[in-house]
Amino acid sequence: MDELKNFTDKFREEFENDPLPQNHKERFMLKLKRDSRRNVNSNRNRQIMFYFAAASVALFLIFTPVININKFFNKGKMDVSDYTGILEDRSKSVVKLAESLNPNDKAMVLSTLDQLTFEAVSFESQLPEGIVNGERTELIKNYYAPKIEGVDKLEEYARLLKNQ
Amino acid sequence: MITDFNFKDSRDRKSEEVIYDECHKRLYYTSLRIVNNSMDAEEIMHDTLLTYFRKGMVFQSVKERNSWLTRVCINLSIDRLRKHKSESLLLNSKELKAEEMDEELVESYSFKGITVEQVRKALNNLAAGYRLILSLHLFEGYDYEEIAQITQLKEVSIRSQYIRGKARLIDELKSQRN
Repeated sequence: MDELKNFTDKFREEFENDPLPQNHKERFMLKLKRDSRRNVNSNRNRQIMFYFAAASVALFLIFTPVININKFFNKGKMDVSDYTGILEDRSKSVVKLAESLNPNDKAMVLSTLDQLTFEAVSFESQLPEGIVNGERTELIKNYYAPKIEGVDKLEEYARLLKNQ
Repeated sequence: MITDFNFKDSRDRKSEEVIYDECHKRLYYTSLRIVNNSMDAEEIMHDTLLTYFRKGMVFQSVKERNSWLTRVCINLSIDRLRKHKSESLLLNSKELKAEEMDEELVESYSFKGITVEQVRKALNNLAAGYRLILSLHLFEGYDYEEIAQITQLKEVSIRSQYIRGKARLIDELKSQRN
């Protein structure tokens, strides 16, 4: 039987009834204010970084069909399901990375991912009927390849944020 | 599609104040018992809460949140002790040999007629290492295994330090009475 433990348990409140230093709360509120200001500046910097990243992704999506058309996915004929499968896998990696970020960064990364991958109407359903196979393959590649590269770049960026 | 998220300072000052009012006292005393200095204890209590607000952590329950806060507070307090190059927490071999005799005396001591103020004064006069281990066991409710994890000492050392610490405390109480 630990008599000392029994004693401290019994009189616990009395061990903690001395007043705290005067104006402790005022000092804390000042520190909190300073801390919040630092946080706002940090968030502003993140906002700038986000817009820069989003602009980079947008530019990449615009110019990539011209720049990288021959570089990407030269593995023979790939159909929509092949590309969407790759896009889904890469997106899952980004989502997993985003989980480890702070709430603001996470929201930013997921929003950018959404912009890259969201399709209001599936691309396949927009392809004209009767289109020849070669042209179809090329159109599908030109549509999905930039998206996949965009997601890859987003993953790199999310990794950078995680390691900060 | 996520289109709106707010990059403004998303911290809610009002609820931070409410949490301060709820938690500050407990954290202050947790730290004070370890560092034995009111200015340090206040600073550590403030740092603990600022860390919590900065990280924006979300807990399943208030109990989980309070456990996390206590643990952070204890770690910061131990860091402060180490920073002030306080007495080592390690036992030397002489003290280990004396353990068996002390344990009998310690267990037979009666706290009848002892006041809270006397025990508090005796705790404050203990060496930092003993005060830390007694505080963690008596007031924070950690067992020897948990204290060993926190202090990165062996569990057997913690048990010995606890008994030696109690023995020292009893010596202090006896000298107060005399």
